[in-house]
Amino acid sequence: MKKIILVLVISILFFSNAFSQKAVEIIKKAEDAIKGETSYGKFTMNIITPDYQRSMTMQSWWVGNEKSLIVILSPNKDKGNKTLKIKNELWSYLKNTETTMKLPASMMLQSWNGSDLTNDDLVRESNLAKDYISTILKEESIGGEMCWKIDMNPNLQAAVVWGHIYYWVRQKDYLPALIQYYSEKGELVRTMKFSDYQRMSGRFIPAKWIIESNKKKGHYTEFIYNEVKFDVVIPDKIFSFRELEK
Amino acid sequence: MKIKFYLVIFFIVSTSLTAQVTLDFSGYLYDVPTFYFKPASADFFGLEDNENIYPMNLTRLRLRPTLNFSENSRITMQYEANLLFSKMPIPLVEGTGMTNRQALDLHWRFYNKNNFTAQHFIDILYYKHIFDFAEVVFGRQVISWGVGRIWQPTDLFNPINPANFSKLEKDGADAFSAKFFISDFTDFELVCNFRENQKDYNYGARFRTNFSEYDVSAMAGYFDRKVIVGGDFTGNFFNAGLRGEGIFSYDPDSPDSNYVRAILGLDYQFTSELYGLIEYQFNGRGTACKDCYDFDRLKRGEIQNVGLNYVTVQSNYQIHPLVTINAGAMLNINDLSGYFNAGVTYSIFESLNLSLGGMYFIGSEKDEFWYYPSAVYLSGQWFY
Repeated sequence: MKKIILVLVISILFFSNAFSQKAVEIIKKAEDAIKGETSYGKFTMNIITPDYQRSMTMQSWWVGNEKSLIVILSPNKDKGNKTLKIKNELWSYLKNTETTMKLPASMMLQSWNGSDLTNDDLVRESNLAKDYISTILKEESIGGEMCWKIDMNPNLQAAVVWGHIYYWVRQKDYLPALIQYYSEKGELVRTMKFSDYQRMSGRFIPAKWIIESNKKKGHYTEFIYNEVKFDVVIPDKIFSFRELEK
Repeated sequence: MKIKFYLVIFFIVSTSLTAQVTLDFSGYLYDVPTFYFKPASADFFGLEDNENIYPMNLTRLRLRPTLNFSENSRITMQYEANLLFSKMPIPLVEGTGMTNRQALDLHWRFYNKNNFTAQHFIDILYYKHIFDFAEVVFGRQVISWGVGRIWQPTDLFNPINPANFSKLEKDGADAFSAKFFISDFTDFELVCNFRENQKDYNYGARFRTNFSEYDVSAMAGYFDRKVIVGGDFTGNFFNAGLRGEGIFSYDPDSPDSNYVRAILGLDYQFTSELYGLIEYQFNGRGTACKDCYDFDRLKRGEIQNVGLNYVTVQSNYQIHPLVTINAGAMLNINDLSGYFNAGVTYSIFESLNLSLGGMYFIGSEKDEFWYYPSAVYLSGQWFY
C-alpha cells in the first residue's frame, strides 16, 4: 500500500512538473509569436468608451523585453513625443518643449495616454514566461478554436503588475486567443482578446488586440497593427539619447 | 549681428534647396482669461482704486513650421503672436520682450494702448544638422539642461518661474551648440550663447552619461561673468524617481557673491491614476532677508526665486481618462510665504484641452509671495 502511495505521489509530482514545463513552453511560444526576438511596427490604438473615442498612431521598435522605443505619429498634440525603455529604465521625450525626462519605475502602472493599456504593456517590461509560474488547467474552445487554458501566478522574485493571469493559447498554431488579468486582490481587471489573424511579414499573427476594462463597462482599447516586421536588425543606436532627442 | 544671423540662415536654406525639402507644420491657439485678486501688497504697488478684481486675457497663436532638408538636417521655427488685455498693474507674472540669453531682438510690439498689447516674436529659429558622431545647432534654440521637475539649477539658459502659469515653453537662447556622441547614453555638449556685446557671451559645457541605472551629468561654464560648475543625477530609488541637481557659482572679482544652488526631489506613481512629487530647493543666490529680495532680476526672468529655502509638493489624479486634476503647494521655508495651486484639465477633443485653475498666495508683509496676486484662470488650447 505504501509503495502504491509513493508511486502515486511521485507520478503526480512528475506530471505536474512536466505540465508546468510544457505550460512555460506554450506561453513562451505564444509570446514569441506575437513579439519576435526583435520587431518594428506601426500601429493604431483606438480608445473607445460610451462617451468618447480617441485614436493614436505610433511607430515602435522592440528588442525582446529589454528595449523599446515608441514614437507617437498622431494626434498633432502628441506628435513627436517618444518613450524609450532599456531594461528597468524609462525615459520620455516631449517634442514641444524639447525636454527629456526620466520616469520612475512606478510609472509602469500608469495608463498609456488614457487607454486600457499600461506603460508596462507598450514597453513590454514584463516577461510572462519568466516572471510567472505557469500550469495548464484544461482545454477549452475560444472563438471556435481549441485552446489550452493556462494558470499563471507571479514568481516570488519578480516585480510584476498582475496578481494572477489566465492565458488561453490556440493549440493549432500556439497563438494567444484570450488573456484575463487579475489584481493582487483577485479582481478581474481587464481582458485581452485577439482576433483578425492574418499573415504579416511572414508570420501568422493576430493583427487586432482588444483590451476590455472589466471595471468600466463599455470601455475598451483596440490595438491594431498597420505594419509589422519581425526579427529585423535594429541598430543599438535606435535606443539612445541621440535617437530620443532627434 | 542681426544681419549676420539672417545671412547664415539664408546661406543654409539656399544651399539646401537642391535637397528634397518637406515641411512639417503644427501649432496651437491658446487663450487664458484670468482674474487677479487685489493682493495684500496693494498699498505697496500704489493700487489705490476700488478694484478688487483685475481681469486679464492672453491669447496666443503659436506657429511651428519645420523645414526638413533630410533626415538629419532641418530648420525649426516657433513664431508667436499674442494679444494681451490686462488691467493688472503688477508686472510680476508675465514676462515679454528680449531675454538676457538673446542677442537679437526678434520681438515686435505693434500696439500698446488702453490696456491692450499686441506683439509678435520669433521664439525659436535654428538650424540643426546631425552627423554620425555629433549634432550642431545654430540659432535661437532651447537648451534643456537639468533634471528637476520644478527647479533646474543647471538650466542657465531658459529657466521658467513656476508661478508663471501661462508660460508653456522656455524662451529660446541665441547660441551655437555642438553635442558629441560618445556612446548611446554618453555625450558631451558645448554651447556658446550670444549676446549683443561679445564680452557678455556665455559659455557652457556638459558631460552626460548613464551609470548604474542613473543618468548623471557634470557641467561647467561662464555665465553672467561668473564661473559655474555643477551637475545632476536622476534614477530610481526603489520604484520612486530620485533626482538631484546643483551648481556652485564663483565670481573671482566678488567672492562675497559666490553661492550654491541645489535641489533634491522624489516622485512616485502611487496608483495608475495618482502621481505625486516633492522637491526641495536651496537657493544660495537668494536671501532670508525680506528687505533684500531682488525682484528686479525676478521680473526680468533672470532668476526663478528670491528666497533661500523652498519646498514644493505637486500631484496629479486622473479621475477619468479625459479629466485630470492637479493640486500642489509651494513654500518659502524662511519667510513662510507660499502658494496653493489647483486645477482640472478636460480633453474635450483630441486636439482641444480646457483647463480651470487657480493660485492662492499667502504671506505676511514683504514676504516673497506676499507680492503676488492670487488668480483664477480658465484656459483653452487647440492644437493643429
